[in-house]
Amino acid sequence: MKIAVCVKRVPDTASNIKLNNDQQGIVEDGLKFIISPYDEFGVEEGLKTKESVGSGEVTALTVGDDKSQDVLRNALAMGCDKAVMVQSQEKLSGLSVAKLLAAKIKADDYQLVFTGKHAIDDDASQVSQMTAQLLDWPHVSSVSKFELIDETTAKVHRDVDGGNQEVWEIKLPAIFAASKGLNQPRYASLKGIMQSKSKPIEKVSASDLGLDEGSLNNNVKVINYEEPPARQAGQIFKDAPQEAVKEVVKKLREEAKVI
Amino acid sequence: MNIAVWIEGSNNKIKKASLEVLAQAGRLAKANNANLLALYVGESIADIETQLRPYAVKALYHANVSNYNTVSWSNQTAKFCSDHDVNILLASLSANSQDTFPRVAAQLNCGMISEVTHIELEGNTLKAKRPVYAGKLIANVEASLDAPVVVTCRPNVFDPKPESGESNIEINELDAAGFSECGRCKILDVKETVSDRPDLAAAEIVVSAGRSIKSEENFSMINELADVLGAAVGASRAAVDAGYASHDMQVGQTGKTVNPKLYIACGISGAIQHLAGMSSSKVIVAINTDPEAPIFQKADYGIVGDMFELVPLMKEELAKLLQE
Repeated sequence: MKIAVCVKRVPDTASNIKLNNDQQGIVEDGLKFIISPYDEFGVEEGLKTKESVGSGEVTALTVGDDKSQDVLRNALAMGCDKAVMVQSQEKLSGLSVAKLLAAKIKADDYQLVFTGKHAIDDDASQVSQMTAQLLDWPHVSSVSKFELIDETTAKVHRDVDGGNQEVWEIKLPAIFAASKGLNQPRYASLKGIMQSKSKPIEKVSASDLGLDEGSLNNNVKVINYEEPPARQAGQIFKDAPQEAVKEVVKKLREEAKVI
Repeated sequence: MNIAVWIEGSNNKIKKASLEVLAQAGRLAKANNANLLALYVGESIADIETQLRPYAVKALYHANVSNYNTVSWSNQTAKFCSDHDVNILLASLSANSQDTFPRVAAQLNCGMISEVTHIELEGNTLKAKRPVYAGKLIANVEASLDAPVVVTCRPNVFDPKPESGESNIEINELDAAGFSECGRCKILDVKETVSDRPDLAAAEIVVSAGRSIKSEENFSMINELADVLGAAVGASRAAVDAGYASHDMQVGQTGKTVNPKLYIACGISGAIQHLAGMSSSKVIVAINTDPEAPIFQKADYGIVGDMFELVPLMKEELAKLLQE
């Protein structure tokens, strides 16, 4: 079974994010970059699925520039067999990324694709669903349990509103977006790290895939970024618990008017 | 120009988050002389027309369908947009809109703007703001209406009060069969959590606890406080990773982003990961034993002390007040 896992390079969740002077992006100096955490659940599920089937290969797939090689090496160190970078210098919209991914997934004929449910940088949660649509495949957008019934069918749990879960039967090929709770991603072993250095990273461009990068973008674009309004520390109550609680509850009603 | 809102309902009522989007779409429609259309896919809501009338909806399109289906719903929604020349399709953020809307955009070959907190129209350009990096920054996004644009909106952001005035609504039934057929994906079962608490991501009040709650059982104290307030219950990543709370309760950069009018953080120190997910709350109350905890830098009201003592006191005090 040919499995692809889509990964994205993002700043670590513990990072302080600083805006560039030109407001066009963030200051990257000094930031630690990681595989987006939900994508890591996707990588783990891809590896687990290959192990349970007993054969096949898992390819880590990203859209990005050379800086993204690190996250591909991480995915290889976790146990992926191959890595593919669809090269892009431009900041692309969700749909443009989906077009590049769909073209590569189609060209390489994967049966099963895992992604994260959203990337923790742009928080858009679009690419997985859009890629499925472009391939005319079904998808599940927030998977907390995945089970392969046979080579053509998966049974999965989808997280929905109110903490509920739906159980879906999906015919492959399909795309599954991993949520937290799906699994516990493995750490890269020392052996895995050593082996990852010799595994190949295939690089392809939009034109290799028959797409013109210049014409990929659509009618939505990010103009710039701004800092959210800063929050000020408020009133702190340190003594007499009973009195402090009374005071805060009173303020919630009379001052903040939220209850 | 045609602006369409994809509405969702439950228990014979249109969801409050959908009404927020309807009201905001109504304001955009009025200011730009546009038609406001509503699309409702779901079982019949008894008095849906009455509920929609104050929002000056020109026409409601309804498909009487009981089961959600990813592929067919997105196909039919995209077809609806093409058939009715929809320029802007809006919905509040929900599991189903998040599932469907990107597919709709891909079919229409147009852009999508997820989870906006501000939206306006300037001529032929839609301007929106949306938080990125879990709210650490705000992106200013523009879409040209030369092509359609698909938008989801954060709950608790837009005023649900309509200002457009009453209107007679033309009601059109859509062919339901198209929405239910898909040979490649189907729901086998729904596992419902037995809870009448509001959904965490859309709740107006959230009570959360951190790792110092020490056990899953101790969450009963948090639940009791939440019940008094009609609040949703959240947890920090540390509490989830320690196994005290389920992953769907996690608030933060790798959990849910919440946007309530009141957020009560109990025993949460305020790691940057957590702050990112809740700092757009209108009012924040923090309870923590450590006076140096970073959460106090963000809180409107902070109480330094032990949550095991303070949370029951707060529950009592609020119950008393709310009974008055």
